[in-house]
Amino acid sequence: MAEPVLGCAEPTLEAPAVRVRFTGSGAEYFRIWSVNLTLTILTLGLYSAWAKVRRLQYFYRHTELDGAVFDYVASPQGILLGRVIALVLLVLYYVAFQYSPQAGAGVTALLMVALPYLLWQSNRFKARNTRYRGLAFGFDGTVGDAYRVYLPAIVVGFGPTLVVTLWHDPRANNMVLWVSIAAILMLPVLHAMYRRYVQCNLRYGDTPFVFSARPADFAAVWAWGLGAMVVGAIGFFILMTLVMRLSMVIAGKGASALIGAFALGLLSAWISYLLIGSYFTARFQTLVWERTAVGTIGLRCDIGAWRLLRVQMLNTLWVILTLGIYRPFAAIRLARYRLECMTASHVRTLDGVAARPDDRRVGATGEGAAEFFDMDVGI
Amino acid sequence: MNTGEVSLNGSRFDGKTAAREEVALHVNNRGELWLVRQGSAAQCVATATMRLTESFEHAPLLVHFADGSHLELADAPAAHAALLRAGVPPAPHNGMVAALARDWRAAVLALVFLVAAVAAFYVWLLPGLAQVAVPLVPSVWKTAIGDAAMRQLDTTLFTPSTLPESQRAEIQQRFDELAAGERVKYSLHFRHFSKGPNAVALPGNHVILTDELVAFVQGDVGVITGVLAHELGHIKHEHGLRMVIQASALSMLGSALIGDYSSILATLPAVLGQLHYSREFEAEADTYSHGLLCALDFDPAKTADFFDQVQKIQDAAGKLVPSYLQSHPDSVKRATFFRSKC
Repeated sequence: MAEPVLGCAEPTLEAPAVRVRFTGSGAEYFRIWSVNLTLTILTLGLYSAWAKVRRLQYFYRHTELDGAVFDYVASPQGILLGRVIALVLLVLYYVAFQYSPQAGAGVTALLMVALPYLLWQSNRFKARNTRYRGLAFGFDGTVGDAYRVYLPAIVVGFGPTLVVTLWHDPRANNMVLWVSIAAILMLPVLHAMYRRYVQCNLRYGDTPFVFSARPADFAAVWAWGLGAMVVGAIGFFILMTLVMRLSMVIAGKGASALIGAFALGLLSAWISYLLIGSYFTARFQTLVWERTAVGTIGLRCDIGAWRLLRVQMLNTLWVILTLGIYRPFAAIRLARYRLECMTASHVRTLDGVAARPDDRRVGATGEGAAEFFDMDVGI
Repeated sequence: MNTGEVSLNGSRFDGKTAAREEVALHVNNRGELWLVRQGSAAQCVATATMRLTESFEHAPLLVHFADGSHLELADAPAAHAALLRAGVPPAPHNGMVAALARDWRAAVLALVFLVAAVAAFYVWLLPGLAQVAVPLVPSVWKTAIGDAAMRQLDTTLFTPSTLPESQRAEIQQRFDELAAGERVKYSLHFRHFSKGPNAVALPGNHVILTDELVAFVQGDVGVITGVLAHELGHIKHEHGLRMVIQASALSMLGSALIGDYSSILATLPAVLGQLHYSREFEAEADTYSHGLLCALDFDPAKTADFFDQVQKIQDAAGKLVPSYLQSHPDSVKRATFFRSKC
């Protein structure tokens, strides 16, 4: 292929036949969650790395496909190291800007240079610590490609900040506006490039993933989603105007009309936020996984944005009503819906898949940490 | 160990290929473990080569072997108990944590602790921490933050004041009297602000007074004295900086607790918390103001008149916002406070 970052060959696939099952229970996860949270607070956050491993182990081991479950085998120390580095970078970023714009610009530049490397590291970490049927997944993307893929996204994301801090010229504001518009227009392309980089470089054992979604497919989802947002905003504006007028007629000019309109506005803003979120989640999950194949295994995803919205809304309502106690139950409910909508071809066609010899070092003892930085970056 | 025979069904994966093999693990009444594989003789396995993982109610139990293979056994709790009885060493780490998580009482206790910890953090620890952190912030930073805020306000909200020079001089003189006892220099800025009467205190010892506030009190310097003393209270207690520190700590806590669930919900505690802290700060500044006015023989009751006027306007507008969503305490209460004796 001419372009290593974007190229993946189309495979012949078997028809999806088995559904993913998620067997986690809210009541059980609730206990894990509360103990995790308590220990995290007692240790001033240090335990959070161990908590993450336990949380992911809980979700992975309750995800069953064709008679076998997934497993997560990361070392908490690696996660802790990643979190410390991320925290230091974040604090530096905040503090530097309060110190002087030049220092801020310096730290921003440092972040821009470091981020692709850290994200590459994080992808590798996640893949190789995920196991299924005794074999590890792997991520073979190169650091060079990581820079090629992430750099445009990062320049567009951080560029405006740099421009504003370095040149106080009023024309800079104009430029920021244009760069921001360009960023929104570039978003689908950047998103597609990033996804291709990840999906095309993943493998299960020695079998590479094949990814066939085109940037145009991503652009279509973005266009529908952003279009719906614009239409929604216009509809919202009209609705609010009507409600204000109407409530002024009914309740007169005063507080109750305003409060009613405010409450309605808040409610519809919340629902549309959830709706847009659900739409993007559902469409991208479908796009990414239906166009991903592992060997001859094809995947199908019948997630629906409206049903996802229903799950999210009920979850949020319950979390609010129970002052947060429902959160672990909500996490289980969401995971169940998002996982059980996935169907795969019979995995036994993968029986021939073998472990990569170098994967087997990443075993029980964790001595497979070939690099010094075997870590996951996430805050 | 004699515990009776158990047969545990499950799958075996050799760690070399993805192939699955149906197997059974027999625990006989001598406590020996026999792995039964289809088409081959049963093998005795040494418990020392096995490694258990945490057992969950509804997931298979994963048992790892020294040769890289592993079993996924159905009915994890029963399998886990049987293997422990047979002498297989328990999971090396988080055995205690796992035990805690299996116990409902521990979970509920943890939750109670959690609520108490969050409450304590919010009520005592956070304001305390901010108070400790504020003196650690170098004064160069404070000046930089204040100057930056001043610049930003000047470009976005404020325009130059249109008050007559004589009136400004009169207020400036009163301000200097109030700040006379301080070692550092305080600066008073007059600004025009189209959104109405306001007075602001910023880090770096800046006080901003809007023309609209002066007009609102009909230029009564006695009333303005109270307002200025109140803003000096904010500066004295470093409320601006404490607010920044507390707000960022709260939003960090918010996202730690519920951030991975909903980012909008996560910002809610920070916003509401800020308003609450702000009410506390206002009360603190009021106390400072009352004390300063008394010490310098100004009449605090003048300030009470100011709050009566504010209250009238609020009444006219209808009570829109419940007190939880308000950044300032009730004007009636504040008026009563300023009428109290020196």
